[in-house]
Formats: sequence, structure tokens, C-alpha cells
Amino acid sequence: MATDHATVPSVDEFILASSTVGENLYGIVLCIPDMKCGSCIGRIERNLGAVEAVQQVRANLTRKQVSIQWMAEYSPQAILNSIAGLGFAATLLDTPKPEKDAGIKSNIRALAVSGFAASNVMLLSVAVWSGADESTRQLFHWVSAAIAIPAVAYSGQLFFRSAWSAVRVGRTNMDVPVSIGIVLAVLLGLYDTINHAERVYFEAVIMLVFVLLIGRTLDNLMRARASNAADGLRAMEPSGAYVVTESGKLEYRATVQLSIGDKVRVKTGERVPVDGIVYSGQSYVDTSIVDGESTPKKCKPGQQVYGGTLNVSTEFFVRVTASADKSFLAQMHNLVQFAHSSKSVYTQISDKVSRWYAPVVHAAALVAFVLWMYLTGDVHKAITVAISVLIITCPCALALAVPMVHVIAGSQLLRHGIIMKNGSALEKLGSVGTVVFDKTGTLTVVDTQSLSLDTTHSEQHLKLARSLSQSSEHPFAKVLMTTSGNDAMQSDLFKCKVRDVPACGLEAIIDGETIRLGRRSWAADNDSTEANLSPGNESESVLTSNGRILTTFKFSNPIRKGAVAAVARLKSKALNVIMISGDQLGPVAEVARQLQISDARSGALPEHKVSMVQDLSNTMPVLMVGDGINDTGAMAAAHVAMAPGTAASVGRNMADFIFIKQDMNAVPDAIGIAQKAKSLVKQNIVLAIGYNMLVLPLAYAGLVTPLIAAVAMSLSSIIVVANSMRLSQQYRLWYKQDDLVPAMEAAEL
Amino acid sequence: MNDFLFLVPISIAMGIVGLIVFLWTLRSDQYEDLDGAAYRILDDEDAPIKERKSSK
Repeated sequence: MATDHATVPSVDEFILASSTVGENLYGIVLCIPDMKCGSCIGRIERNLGAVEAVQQVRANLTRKQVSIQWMAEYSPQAILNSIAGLGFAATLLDTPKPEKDAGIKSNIRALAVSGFAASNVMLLSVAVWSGADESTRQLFHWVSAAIAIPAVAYSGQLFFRSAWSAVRVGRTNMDVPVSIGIVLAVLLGLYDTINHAERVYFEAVIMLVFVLLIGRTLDNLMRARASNAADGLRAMEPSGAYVVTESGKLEYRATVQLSIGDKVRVKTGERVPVDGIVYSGQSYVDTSIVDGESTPKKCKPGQQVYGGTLNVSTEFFVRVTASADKSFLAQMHNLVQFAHSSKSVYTQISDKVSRWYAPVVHAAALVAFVLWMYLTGDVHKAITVAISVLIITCPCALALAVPMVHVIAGSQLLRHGIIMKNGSALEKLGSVGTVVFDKTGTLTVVDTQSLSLDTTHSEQHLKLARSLSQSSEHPFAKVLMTTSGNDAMQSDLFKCKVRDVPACGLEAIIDGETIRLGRRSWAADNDSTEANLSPGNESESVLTSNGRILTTFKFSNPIRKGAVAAVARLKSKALNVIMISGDQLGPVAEVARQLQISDARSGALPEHKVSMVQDLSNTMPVLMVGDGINDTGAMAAAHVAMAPGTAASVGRNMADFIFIKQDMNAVPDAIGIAQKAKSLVKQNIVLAIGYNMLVLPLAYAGLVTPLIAAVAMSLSSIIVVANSMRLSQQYRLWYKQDDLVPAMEAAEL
Repeated sequence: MNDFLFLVPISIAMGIVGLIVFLWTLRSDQYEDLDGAAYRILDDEDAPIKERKSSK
């Protein structure tokens, strides 16, 4: 998207985004998405380093970022020119998030300390187990204590803090039993060491902390990686804009400071800072970030423009209608972030689980203690068993089972250009048996080339058709507005109230005549020619005046990129593929033939679509892929819905999944990932619960020492995590085999 | 027994050195750009940009 324009931020934006790092020294981090190889780093660093203003420059290939320190006495214009001269598009980062990085770093530090302590204590313990004499054993126990206690105190903070913050407000979470287990085990170890016991369990405690930290760190890294994608979306929003003040002057303000009612100037090549209504000037905006539409849209006074869209024509002025945090782009960003980490949902679920799980665990440990106390009268043995039960029943693996898979699946989906709106939809998508497609705008794309105008279309007819189409979101209407766009003519369109009749067309009364544009059977009175007209693959829209046909617009139906391969892949997965369209038989049959869809239904009104989808979902879960207003009913009726990024906003709201790329392969990709994810979740739950079931009786019987309990528990977590990781591994291999598909498709065309 | 009195501290000291080195690499951002580091080794100019500049 951004590369087409090779955009760099403006000087004002650049200065605004810079932060002071030293005396007369500013620091800034730019995101350069096209930085892909070693020579890119070299070119960027050498060229920017040669700029006088630059004090220091460092490119980061992994993050695709460049951090620059520049001196305040120079204008940063030369820096920007240098970047643009290299042909890179650069965006400013929203705000660098040191606190997020710091969290991961302190996590890794704790992991390193506990790893060091665990390996050393384990070495000493193995020496003791293999038969050390009394005095050596004593020495080693004390050394172990000296290493383990500070290490636990340092590395265990993460759990203690979390547990304490839960306990303080009268709640309990997963970290409570873990923390109690750790503290008790340390105290017991200390007691044993002082009393010259033969066995001391420091290694068990420190191992537990170590392995729990591994899980935490993995989780954090995954989340950080996932949210990077969401940040990319946010970066599309300019960091500031020129505001027209009351005295008529222009003043540069940060986007976050823009308030409702402000008048903002949007220059050519700039992005609209926040949502607003155009009040002066006319232009074309590239809205591809909002709806994936590559054709720039016209905007004129009174029209809504969304933040993040790009002004590709002349300068215009916008009155702000939503502050930066409530703009469309911010909502989209939140949506992605929510879908991505799905953190809030899962934290809730796991907290809910632990709300009853933690008391059960504590009770189980207490019962074990009392039982052993009663049966043997041995306090020491009873405490050991209780600790084992406490550690072993800790539901860490269970807690990781679902979110781990969903987090990975989410980032996999995003890599394929698919945004997941909620986590539960993933499971539904995995069990889908029937895929229903809409035709126009979904399986076929409608672009400016699809409408061919000839001499039979008079200027007057075009003007009428455009007057009706100007407010519609139907693909045909959009094409009519943009094809052979003549500005002078478009500006004097009829001002009329257009009624949108779903699945039929558009209607307005102009100069006392009822003008209709749309389906032949609806627009034209008593027209019997429908059957023998348009037998080919062209769809048509009829323009009528009081039922009299004025002209016919024919739209060719180019198949969406990847649709042939996508349908073939879906069929190879033994899924039913059905096409339901409101269009006439001719074009529907032609598209079905090209895509090799055997079950294609034409002439369906929205309510037909709903009932058909309902019928289908009685037998098998249905995925509805649609884009327009006339599909929303069917999308709601289906188990799970998917929409292309180009869909009307209603369609996007209704969909559980949105694919941003134009390629239809997103549908089989998403289903493939969802199926894998679903089976992995099941496996994980079986693994986690099965492990608890297996070991709990042994722990009760006193056959499991805290060491074995710690190792087994950590092992089950690691197995669950490793099993979840298979999603990315397997899927990548599977996808590689499919690389043949584009070639297949090319051969067909 | 006497051997342990210096062997154990030595082994632990070596472990601590390793730990400190790791924490230092972490602190100095050496894990920030693992992909880039693989390419940088192919770059002929070894001196950091900053020094090259001041020598100019």
C-alpha cells in the first residue's frame, strides 16, 4: 500500500514524533516495512549516516525499524529526503513502548537467574543423591540453600506479585497455589537443612520457578510479536495535522490533541488524520486501508472521510467528527489487537477457571495433609505430600491449552492477511462443513474495467445512473461512479433522494419520473425479454424511467484472484461449496462453470439466502462468505461469516473474519488454520487433564516427591506449549505444498 | 572434603560469570536484531558509523 506512494512523513510530523535524548539531540524511530535484506541495512545506515544532521543511525532488520539520533541545530528535511531518495516508504511509530519491552526483558532476566540457580542446585543435588558422606551432604545442602533462596526470591517475584495482587482484593488466581507451594517448599527445605535431613528439595522449587518462567516468557514473546501487526495498522494514522485556527492561521497539532469540530487541512499525498466530514474542497481519497478498495473514491463537501485514508488528488478541508481514540482506524486497531491476543477473553476464562480451581487445589492439599497426619502422625511426611499435591494439581498446562493455540492461530491468520474478530469463531470455523459464497463482489470482483460503455449510453443516461449510484455501496454502483469519471459532469448530478431496495436496485424520483436502476424484472414493467437476454457471463443493470427501459449497463464478471484455486482447495478438503447469488442464471452459471461449483443458485433475494443458509446449517455448520448488505442476513444465519476487506461496512461488522488481501485463497487458508487449531486445542486439553488425572492419585499416595511433581508439572506445560507450536510449523509445510496452486491458476487463465 | 571447598566455589563462580555475561548482552540490546546481525557480518566497514563520521 504505502510503497506505491513511497511516502515519508512530513518535517513537522518528524519533529513532533522525535523525543529529546540529550542536549540538542533528538531521537526518533521510523518504521521501514520494505527493509528486507543486509544490503538494505547497509544502504540506509550509510546514506543516513552521511547526512549532516544525523548523529547516529541504527537499522533493525528484525523489527524493520530505524532509530535515528539527530542534532537539533539542523533541519531534519535532509534526513527525510535521504530516505525518500533511497526509495523507501517510512512511517512514524505511534509511540515506542519501552514498558512492554522492559516487561519482557525483566522476564528474561528472571529466567536467566533461575536457570543458572536451577542448574547449579541440580548439580549439587545429583552429587548428594549419588551418595555423598554426611559432612559433604551438609555442605552441599547449605550451598544449595545459599543459591536457591535468593534466586527464588528474585525470579519468583512475578508469581508472588500476581498472587498478592489477587489475594489483596479477595480473589485468587493461578499464581496463588504456585506461590504458596514455592514458599512452603523453600521453608521446608530450610528446616530440613538446619535439621541435617537426608533429603532437601531446593532443586524442586527452583526447577519449578525456572520452567514456569519459560512458559511465561514464551507467552509474552508471542503476545509482543502478535501486537506488532496491530501496531502497523496504527502507524497509518498521521501523528499530526494542520489545524485552521479561528484567526485563519495554520497550526500544527498532534493527532491526539485534535478535538471534535476542529478544521483540519489535508494536503495532497497526506493521510486524513481522524474521521471527519469534508467541508471545503473536492478530491479523491485512497480508502484501501479502510475497505481494501484500490480505486480512489471521490469526496466532496458533506461527505464522511475516515482517518488513515490517503488524499491522492487536491487539498481539502475536514471538520473533525471523532477524536483520535474513537476514529475508525483506532477502532480497527483495537479490533485487531483484541482479536489478536484475545487476552482479555482468555484471562477472564482462566480466571474463572481458577476461581473454583484454586480453592479445590488448596482443599485437596489440605485434605492430603490431614489424611497423612491422621494416618502416620508424621508432620514432615504430611507436609511433603501436601506440597506435592499443591504443585501437581496446579492447572498451568490447562491454562495454556486454549490461549496458546489461539494466539498462534491469530498470528498465523494475520500473516495470511486475515483478521480474526473473536476467538470463539475460530473453533466454529474449524468445524465448518459447507461453504456458501456470494457471487458479486465476493467470488467476482467488480472494477473499472468491468463496465464497457458504448455509444448507446448517452450522457443523460449516465448522469441519471450516476445520480442514483452516488450514495450506494453496491459494487456496480461504485463502478458506475468511477468509470470514465468526468469531474465536470459528476459535480452537477441530480440532487435526489435515493431509495435502496435490497436485491432489486436503486430508485429515485427525478423531475417527476420514477427512475430505477437495477434488476430487470423489478425496474422494467412487463418485460418478457429477460429469458432470452444476456445469456453470456455478463451481469446487467437496467436503467428505466417509469418502467420504460432507457439503457442497459453490462458488467463483466472477472473472477476474483485465487478464487479458482480456493474453490478447488475447499473441495479437496471435502467441503461442500455452494454459490448463492441474486444475479440472473446466465452469469451465475458462467461463473459456476469457471469455478467448477456444481451447486450454484441464482436469483436469490436476501430472505431466500437466509432460508437457504438456515436449511444448510441444519445438516452441517455453514461458513458464509459475503460482502454486501444483501448478504448480511445470511451471514448472521450462518455459523460463522467471513467478508473481504472490500465489503460494505455492514458486511464487515457482521463477519467474524475479514480478509484484507484480495486473494480468495484466504478462505481455505483460514479454514485450514482453524481446523489445525481445533484439533490442537482438543489434544492440549486431553494432555493437560490426562496428566492431572494420572499423577494426582500417585501424589495422594505419597509416591511423588516434590521434585518429580515439579518436573512432571513443568513437563506437561512444555508439552502443551510445544504441541501448540506445531500449528505454525505444520501449517507452513502444508502451505508450501500449495505453492503449486498459483501456477495452476495461471495456466487456466 | 577439602577439595570441595575450592572446587564448589570455582564452579559456582564460573556459572555466575556466564550469568553476568548473559545479563550484559541482554542489557546492551544484543538480541534486538538477530536477523540483521547475520547480515552485518558481511559488511566490510567494521567501524561504527559514529566513529567514521567524527573522523571525517
